[in-house]
Amino acid sequence: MSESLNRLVKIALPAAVVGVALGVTLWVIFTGEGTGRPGGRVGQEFRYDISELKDLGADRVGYRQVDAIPAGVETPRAIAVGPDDVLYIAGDAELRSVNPDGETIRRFETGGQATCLAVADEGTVYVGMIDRVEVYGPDGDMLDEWEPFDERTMLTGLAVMGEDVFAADAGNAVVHRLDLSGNPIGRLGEADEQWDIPGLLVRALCLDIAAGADGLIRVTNPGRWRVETYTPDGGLELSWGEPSMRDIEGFCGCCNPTNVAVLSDGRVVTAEKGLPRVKLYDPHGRFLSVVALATEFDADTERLELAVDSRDRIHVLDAIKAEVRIFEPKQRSD
Amino acid sequence: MTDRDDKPKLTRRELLRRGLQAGGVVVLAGGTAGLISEAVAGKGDTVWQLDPDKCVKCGNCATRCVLDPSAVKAVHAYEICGYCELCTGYFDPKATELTTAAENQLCPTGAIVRTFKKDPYYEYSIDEELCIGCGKCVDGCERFGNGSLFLQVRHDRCVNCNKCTIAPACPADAFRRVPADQPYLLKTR
Repeated sequence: MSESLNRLVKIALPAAVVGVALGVTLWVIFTGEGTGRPGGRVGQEFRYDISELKDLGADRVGYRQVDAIPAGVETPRAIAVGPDDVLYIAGDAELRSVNPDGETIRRFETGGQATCLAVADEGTVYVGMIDRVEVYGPDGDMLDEWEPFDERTMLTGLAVMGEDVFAADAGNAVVHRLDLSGNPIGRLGEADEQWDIPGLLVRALCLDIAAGADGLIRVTNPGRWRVETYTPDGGLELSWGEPSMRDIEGFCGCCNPTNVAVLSDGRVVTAEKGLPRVKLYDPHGRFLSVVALATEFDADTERLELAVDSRDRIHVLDAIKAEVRIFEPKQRSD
Repeated sequence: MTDRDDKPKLTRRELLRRGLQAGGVVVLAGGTAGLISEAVAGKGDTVWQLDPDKCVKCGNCATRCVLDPSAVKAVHAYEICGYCELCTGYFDPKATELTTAAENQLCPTGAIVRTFKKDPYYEYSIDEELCIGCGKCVDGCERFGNGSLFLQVRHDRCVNCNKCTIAPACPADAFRRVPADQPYLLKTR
């Protein structure tokens, strides 16, 4: 028995190895697969591969998904959290409000596809649409429609703070400060040598803002891979961030972060594209943890809209899944 | 692109009849008639082009063209380019610094030229003699940036085969014939 086994190993195994090698060689010769030769397929060196970067920071994840609310619209574009943690979702020229249990409170039509959204403390909803803003009451009645901005305007972020509305205009690379009636008061993020403000640099059409409880406005500066903190009158208080493809602490690609939100204590949440991921930084820009890894999202995800509720739960709009995913800090038991 | 308007206009039925007469064998004659009818009546003034909105950057354009290197090249829509300092169509994701050193470049053939314009803007142009149409830069640009780099069949070299050898190998069905006087499908978004 063992003799025949030995014989089998000595003869059949080498023969099988040679046979497989010959088969592979012939297959490559005749098909050209993986060689890049005419008729074949290009080799790996001709493919764009960032797969190994997707789980960058896997050991630094500090959050877990606790809930997911269906967007209820086919192409959701923007979210905001209002009073009583009512979630507003805009898309398909519609606005939907959802209670914390995920039940629809109201849905009503808007004048077009929203590009950004903000809700004031008393429940007034501001819907940005490329170059204009529509204002709705909590019950869905249209209260106002502001005059369109100039033709270069591309509104991609809105925030309300006290008596001011801030509108991030990616087309003009500036943040407009307006009163509650839409009258311009000032502009944030313009280059100013005297005050050492380099200015917002928008290479792709994404610029986002978030109003903090500290009365300051956080603004993404994606072309410089930074998050900047401005006073409402345009003073640059703080700027932090650096580019990095290989390090989770930096921002990847050419133009990140795309989106920003602020927790109640001033910690900053950022979202990136290319490697779609969400991260958390302290108020001074020190990396704290990953909220959601790039492996959590479809590679084709373009923007991850962010919002934060009264419990500092992080809401992420996953437009491809058409749902709002809610993240909380991990517990010891997780 | 050949103008075939001077050829006699034949119906498919007539072509088939002639094919049958000429061939004598039913099966072979039918096939022959099909080929003739396509050559005579099917093309019009059109050329092959690939739709950049459908393209999935599979790499087949680099290897399936009858030309070597392929007639498909990366092209650049400058009006939607961000002129990025860190162009993800130019730099390898593993690049350690933003210099033009070969090891930092994404393009396997070094076909993209990076030119400083003014701080912090850089222009990227394609050296078509070096480009093989693999689409690696297109993928990098689209994934992180505006998607201003995209692939097109370049008609200064395309021989406009009756049956483009790339088209059937395209997994996204992105190849189609377009009017010869408007041979490019430009990217605008």
